[in-house]
Amino acid sequence: MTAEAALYIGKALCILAMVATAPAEAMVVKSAFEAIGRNPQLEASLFGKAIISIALVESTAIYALVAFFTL
Amino acid sequence: MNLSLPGDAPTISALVLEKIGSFSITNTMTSSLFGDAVLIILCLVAAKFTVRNPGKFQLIIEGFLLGVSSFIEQIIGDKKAAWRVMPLVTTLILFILVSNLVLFFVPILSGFTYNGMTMFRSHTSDINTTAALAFGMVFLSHVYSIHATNVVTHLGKYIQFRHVILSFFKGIKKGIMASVEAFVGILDLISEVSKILSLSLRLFGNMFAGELLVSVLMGMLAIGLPLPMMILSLFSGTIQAIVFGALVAGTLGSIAKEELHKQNKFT
Repeated sequence: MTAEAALYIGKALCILAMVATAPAEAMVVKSAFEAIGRNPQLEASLFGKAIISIALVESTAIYALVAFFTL
Repeated sequence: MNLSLPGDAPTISALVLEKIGSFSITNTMTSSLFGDAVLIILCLVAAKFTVRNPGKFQLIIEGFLLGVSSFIEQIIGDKKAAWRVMPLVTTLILFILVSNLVLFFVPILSGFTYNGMTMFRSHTSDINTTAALAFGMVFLSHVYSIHATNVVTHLGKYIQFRHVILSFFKGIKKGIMASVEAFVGILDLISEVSKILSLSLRLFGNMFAGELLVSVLMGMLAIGLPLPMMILSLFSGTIQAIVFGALVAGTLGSIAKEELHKQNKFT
């Protein structure tokens, strides 16, 4: 295996971060929607919090992206 | 007809426009100066607002400030502590917001070139800016913590020898529990370092990914296709500014609460 091939395999492994982050984001959205469904008055206060927690969860994918480009 | 616009994909390090001695001026720096100028003009205008005759612009600015302050109050959960950290956090949010959005709202800027290099690039897409911001904020939180309590109490949060020894005198079981807590304290020390990393990489990664995605899509099809991604990066730029502010507010707010608690105890 040449060094270049190893590099590309490493980059492909970085993409695998999505396997975990996509379900994680879905879980955040799911529980937020469930809470709104149970108590619709919560919508105004939950929206901002849900957006922020999604951004926090997404940051793990961003770390993988940074690793992807620094490889 | 050529429908694609293949340009240079942005690199992680910013382009060096000019060198003065060993000091290099990069294209993120010029846009940072531009953003600062916008903010300073905004401040000078906002300082002249009067209560008697509020215009539309004043209402927008005041509405923004009210929104941010109520948001910080929501995070910290204590009005007095929230007002202690509000000026800093609002400044941070404004600075990051302006730096993320200045290239969208002043579209002419991205057309300027200097020696064939683009002159302006949003400065949060340079890791130096975000790392400096994150390091500054974490450093400030330690200084504030020492100021709020004292050096011994602050270090005691991380290294808990005294607590462990005292607990062993009370009993073996309590001593073991205390040593587990002491281990968690040492882990906190590591988390302080990783906090700098995560704060800086989150902001940098989001902005850089937005730029890169747009430039890749420009190379595929320049008409219409990059537009949704540009809107998405506009959105994520706003969200990331708020997230950065929220995380800093959370860290500083807990220290401000401690300080207020201590003051209330003595008076």
